[in-house]
Amino acid sequence: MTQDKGLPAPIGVVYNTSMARADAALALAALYVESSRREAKVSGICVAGSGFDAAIFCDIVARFYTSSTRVPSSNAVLPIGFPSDPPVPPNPAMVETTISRKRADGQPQYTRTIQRVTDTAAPDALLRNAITFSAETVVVLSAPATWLVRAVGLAGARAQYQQHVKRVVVVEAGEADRDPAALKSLVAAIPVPVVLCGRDVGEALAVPRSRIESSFAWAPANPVADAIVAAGGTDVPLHDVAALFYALHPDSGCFTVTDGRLAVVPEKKTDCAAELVALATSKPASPPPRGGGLVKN
Amino acid sequence: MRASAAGIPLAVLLTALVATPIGHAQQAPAPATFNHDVRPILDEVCSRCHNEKKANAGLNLGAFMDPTTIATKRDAWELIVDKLKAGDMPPADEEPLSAQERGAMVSALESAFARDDRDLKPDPGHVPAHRLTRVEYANTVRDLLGVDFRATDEFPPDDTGYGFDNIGDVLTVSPALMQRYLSAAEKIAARAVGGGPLPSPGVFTRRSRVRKIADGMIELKDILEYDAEYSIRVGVAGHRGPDDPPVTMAISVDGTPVKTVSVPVQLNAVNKQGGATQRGVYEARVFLPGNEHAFRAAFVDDETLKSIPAKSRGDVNQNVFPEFIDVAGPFKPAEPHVVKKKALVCDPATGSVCAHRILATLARRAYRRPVTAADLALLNRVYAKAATNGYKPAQSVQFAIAAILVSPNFLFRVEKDPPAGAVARVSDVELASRLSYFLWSSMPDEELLRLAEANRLHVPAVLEAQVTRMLADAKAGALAENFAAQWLGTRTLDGVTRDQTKFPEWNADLREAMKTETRLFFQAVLHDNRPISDFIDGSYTFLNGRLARLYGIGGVDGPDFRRVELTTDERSGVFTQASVLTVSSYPTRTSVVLRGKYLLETVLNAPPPPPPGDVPPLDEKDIGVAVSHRAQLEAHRTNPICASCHNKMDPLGFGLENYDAVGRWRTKDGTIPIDATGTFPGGKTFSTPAELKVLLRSRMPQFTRSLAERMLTYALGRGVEPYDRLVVKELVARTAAGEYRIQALVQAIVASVPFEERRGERKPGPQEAKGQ
Amino acid sequence: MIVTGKSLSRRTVLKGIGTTLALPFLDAMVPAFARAADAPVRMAWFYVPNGIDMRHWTPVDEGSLKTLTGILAPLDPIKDEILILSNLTTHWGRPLQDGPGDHGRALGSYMTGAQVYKTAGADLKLGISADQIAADVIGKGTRLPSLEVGLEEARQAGNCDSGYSCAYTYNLSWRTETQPLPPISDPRALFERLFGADADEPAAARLRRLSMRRSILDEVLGSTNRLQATLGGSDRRKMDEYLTSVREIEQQVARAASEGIIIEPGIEKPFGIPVEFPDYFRLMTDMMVLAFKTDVTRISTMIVGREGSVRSYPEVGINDGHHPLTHHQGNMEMLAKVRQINELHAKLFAEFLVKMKNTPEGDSNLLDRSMICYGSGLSDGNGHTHDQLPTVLAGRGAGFISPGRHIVYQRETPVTNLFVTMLQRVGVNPDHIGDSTGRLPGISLS
Repeated sequence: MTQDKGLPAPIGVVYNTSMARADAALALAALYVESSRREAKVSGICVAGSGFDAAIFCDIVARFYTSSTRVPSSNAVLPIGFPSDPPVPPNPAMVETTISRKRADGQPQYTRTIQRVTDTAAPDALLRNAITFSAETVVVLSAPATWLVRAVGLAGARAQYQQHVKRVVVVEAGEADRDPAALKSLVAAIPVPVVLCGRDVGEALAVPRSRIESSFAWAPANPVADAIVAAGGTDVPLHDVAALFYALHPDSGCFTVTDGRLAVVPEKKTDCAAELVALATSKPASPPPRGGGLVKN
Repeated sequence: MRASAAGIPLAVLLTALVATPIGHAQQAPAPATFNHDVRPILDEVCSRCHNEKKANAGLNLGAFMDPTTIATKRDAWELIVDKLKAGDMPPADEEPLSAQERGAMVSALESAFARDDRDLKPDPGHVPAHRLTRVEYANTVRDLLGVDFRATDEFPPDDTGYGFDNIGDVLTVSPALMQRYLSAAEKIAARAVGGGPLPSPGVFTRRSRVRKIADGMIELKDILEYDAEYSIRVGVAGHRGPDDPPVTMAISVDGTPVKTVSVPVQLNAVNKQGGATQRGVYEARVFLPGNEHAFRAAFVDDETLKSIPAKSRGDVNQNVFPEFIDVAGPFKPAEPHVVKKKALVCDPATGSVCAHRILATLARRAYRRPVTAADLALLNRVYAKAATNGYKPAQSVQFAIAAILVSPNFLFRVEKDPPAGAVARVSDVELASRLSYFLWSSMPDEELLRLAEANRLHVPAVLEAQVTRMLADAKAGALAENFAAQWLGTRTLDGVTRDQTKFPEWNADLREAMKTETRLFFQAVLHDNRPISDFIDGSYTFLNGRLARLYGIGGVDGPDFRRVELTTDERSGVFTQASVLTVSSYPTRTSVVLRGKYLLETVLNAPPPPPPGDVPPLDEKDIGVAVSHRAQLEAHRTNPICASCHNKMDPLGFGLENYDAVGRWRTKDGTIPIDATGTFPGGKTFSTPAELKVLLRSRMPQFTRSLAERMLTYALGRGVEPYDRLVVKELVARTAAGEYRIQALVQAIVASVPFEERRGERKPGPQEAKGQ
Repeated sequence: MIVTGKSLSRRTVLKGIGTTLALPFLDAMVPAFARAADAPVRMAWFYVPNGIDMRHWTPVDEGSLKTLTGILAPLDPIKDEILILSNLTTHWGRPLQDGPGDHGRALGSYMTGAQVYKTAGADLKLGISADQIAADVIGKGTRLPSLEVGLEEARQAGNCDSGYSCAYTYNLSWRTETQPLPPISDPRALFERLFGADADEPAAARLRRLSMRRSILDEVLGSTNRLQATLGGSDRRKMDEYLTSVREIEQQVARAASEGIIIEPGIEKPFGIPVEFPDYFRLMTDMMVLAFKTDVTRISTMIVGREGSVRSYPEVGINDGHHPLTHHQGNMEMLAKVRQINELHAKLFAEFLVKMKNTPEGDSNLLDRSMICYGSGLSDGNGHTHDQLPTVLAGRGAGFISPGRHIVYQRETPVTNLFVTMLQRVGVNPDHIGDSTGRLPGISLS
């Protein structure tokens, strides 16, 4: 609408994830925090390489972070992409706590709008459509490349990618190479620069799990916090968070790119890791007031 | 009711005096410059509200601090100058500029404009091959062949663009339309030549088209296809009391009485016994040429009617009245009638020499230019082919005429294109077509064509005289019919519905009357060469009985229209005519927003941007009952996002709240009295529609500009583009110099660069020399 | 003027046409397809504007249809002939960067799956609609490649939806990226397009006349080609459109001449548009049925109202305009009225399906041999949502569709996938239609 005349439009983010590791959950939280600050816009979330519960988890996080009570038929709520063709991979263990957590009265703790597989979106359609939602979009791939390459291969999609997508970041830890043929075709087909975020980057930015859990103290119940606890392990390497952060802020000073590979600037390692954690564990900013009192019917 | 100088703010007057020789940067004292006179004020005063954070009305002057933006953001700068000159900015509740500051700013900016414009090469624009609209087709066929053809019934509606249906780029030919052109051509050709065999006669009913004009008077308008005898059958229904005298009924065609009959009104014994409705049919037989005709059946000198209450006049047990008109035919006439056919300059039965003459004459007029050998060869071939196929000479001529009517030379106005990028004058013959389709929505007449062929049309004195002649001709009614109806939006009355319970008087007759009033009004302004301010507050109009009743004006009865001088403040000009007020309302209620938007667009030349997506609707139940319309709409103004546009629209609409959704005057909306106060842009207030009009009158330059742009669009058949800026300015200046009279505007348009010239798109090909 | 002794009631018209055309035409001219086997499959699209009250549309359960309630209740008697498809989307209906104008986009992108170029003037740009993609391939086999019908008569001068030209809000079918195919909304014009204007002539005279028409059109083509050589740029494009139309009419005339069909409806054409909306709907759809039955065409689109239609429906007691009602913001009364309008449309559509079912063809009926799509490019008219669209697919497509079910697809599935599937049934295999991503599974269980 006509509200934000002075500010640049937020960058759209398309996040294709397997949602199987703690850093993926953190990256999703970070994305919504950035979105609440109007630094980014959530254009599309697509699950690949994991089972249906991963999609439900993404939906829960989305509802939680946008405090959205509008029903799914409204245009403002984006569906989550999920490939429904068999064979369907197993559900990631990390998400089960969040999904099954109940309140004192026995009702589910977290609202969700996805009940059945058909409440999710067709992944190739979503991955093509989502990049058109903003003039500038970035894509973070942290899952097998199967669906992204199919989306790029759809008629007219390549031109859309060329027009809208600024950069694509592939996360090695996300096992894009689980489908090597697709990854190869993707890099060949995609008309924009692809940056690889290797495992070394995530590991260089690893943070103790206890610190993350304590940073979530602002909410008595938080779906991402539950997943971090369930994921276990002493340290949490921040693969996806780093990739997302680079995609949105390539000039942050935390990273350098050589030959299409991301690398952490050694002196900034601790500061950047702290910044990433702060981002991912923040409370989302409140939306600006809508102003005036419209006559209610 | 006339605006007086005292109404114009002093600051503006002074500005006009201070910023004298605008447009030419040669001024004796230190000339006002951007850096000295504009930027400081922008910085200190304007940026208080128009900055990156606040951006009132979406304007952030941060980007405007550089003088080079005058060229790149010219439209925005022009708007800024307009607002400065009108005194709209700074707004009334902010610290004002001194007259000197304001004058210097305006002068600096306008000199910059003039400097930029000096180097602007006049670009007349380019309109592609321009297909005839439905109306133009029908008019052209009438003028060419004397055949009435209802193109609006036969052809699909024309696509519209920029608010008009005659935009060259938008008009297309689809296969469905081509099919219609072909069958229309055959039908028209048959009627143009006549003399064909008559089909076997029968009765055809057009019951749904019969209109009741008044008590005891009905009318049917229809097109007859053949020159023949027809039987007009009028059905009468009902009865009156046993002592009532019989009533006389006159049957007439096109205003001429054909037969008078005496209709008995007593209920006869059989019907009394059986309890059936009394019905009778009365017949009149007459020879009629094939064309459009108006059939009327009317009771004359019907004194008994006065004693029957209005409620019962449609009751077949209380009254008698004419019910329907059927037409039967065509019958072979008892004696041969000769109907002169416009197309036949000689008798085709005499042989092919005559046929060729007929076709040559027609082709020149139909193609609107001298005919070439190729044109004639084509038509003669068609004629010959028909003759070989066994058709009689008259019928063979028909086929050739049909070929003319589907030819692209007839259906399109094609102009020779100069090479790409080059600008050239259109030929006189092309100019004649532009002129006649602009002013008459029809083909050039003989005088115009001859002048064009003699290459004398473009001479300014000749051109001006022709325009004056054409405007005095009855055919100039096309401007009222086509331009005005689309400019004012009254053409959409055809699709308007009103809630029958709230507006029981709304019906087809009232709709027609509304359209006619506006059409006749525009025609009068045009014909009498009145100043265009008459559209705002001209104190006369044209009414018939029905419309006068709606307006509450006495002394006007009957279905025919006449000129009425208006004596009260309630009505004047065109913007408080029922037609305009109706199209700017919803079926069940008025709309302040629609009316405000209408005035902004049509009079003040400041169309508001479109609304955002999710606007909540009005709670209609309460309007006029618990809460006034005004109070509900105040919500627009409390929400700052809505206010930016609604602050400009709503007050204007409120000023028209005294007129309900069919244009009737009211002082109460339900139980709540109407409050018609509002604030005009710039700060002045008004409290009645009359005062609103005074303020509108003070904006003659904006109104003239708005009208000039719309009329230019209509005249050219393309939207007004940024490179037409200077042209529009010139049009406004010339109209102002001509005392704002409407013919001055028309003449200025005809004399303008885009009307007389054309920019080419054609890439010169190898067959450059092959012309048409 | 054709004069007869009958008055112009709609039923008379259709009865007359039906009886005179059916037997001689089918039996004499095309006996082959009256005997099933490779009977031609027909396709039609019905478009209703301003969305639908989805809470009373979508059946609760997936799978076999139980009793249909709410807006779909009128379709309950023929629920075994329909599929209800949920979760289809018109992605290009969404604003994306273009601001307001959801109605222009909804209709424009529905059959084309393409982005609607935002303009109120000359430079229209969209895409080819699914029905025209099919018509390009199989249209040559019938007298009319396709038939575009509409029920909205008045056109407004001016830009129709927030900067989108009226061309976008009135036209469902698009022949090319820049050329819409306007629907015929005048019953008389439709009658003439189907059966020709010269309905009463004896055969020999008719053939002579057709041959003269061909000559005229030939000559016109020749002179236009000569004219075109002198033109450039947009002039030439205009002439091109004209030439294409002339050529098409010429082909139709040639086909009509070679087929030697005598069509004698025997009574007068419909005079004008019926006053009551349900009668208008019935009159126009009756002619569609006839067009299919006599194989005048196999592809048809019907736009029940233009997008943003403000038609009021006094026949069911609604005096407010349709479009304003759909911006109810939750107001129960307005929503109820919207539902009533939706129900009226569904009821009339159900009548049409029943007529198709009751029209025998060979050992089957017309509905079995058709695929009729009914839907809208908007689901919630209040919020202007372009996904989870209301869509019904009726008919069996001659053994292709297995109806009687409610299928829920994954969200974001393009509605153009449905059209790709339909087109594949008639042997048209487009690469894609606009934004389609493939076939729609589950339509036929075979």
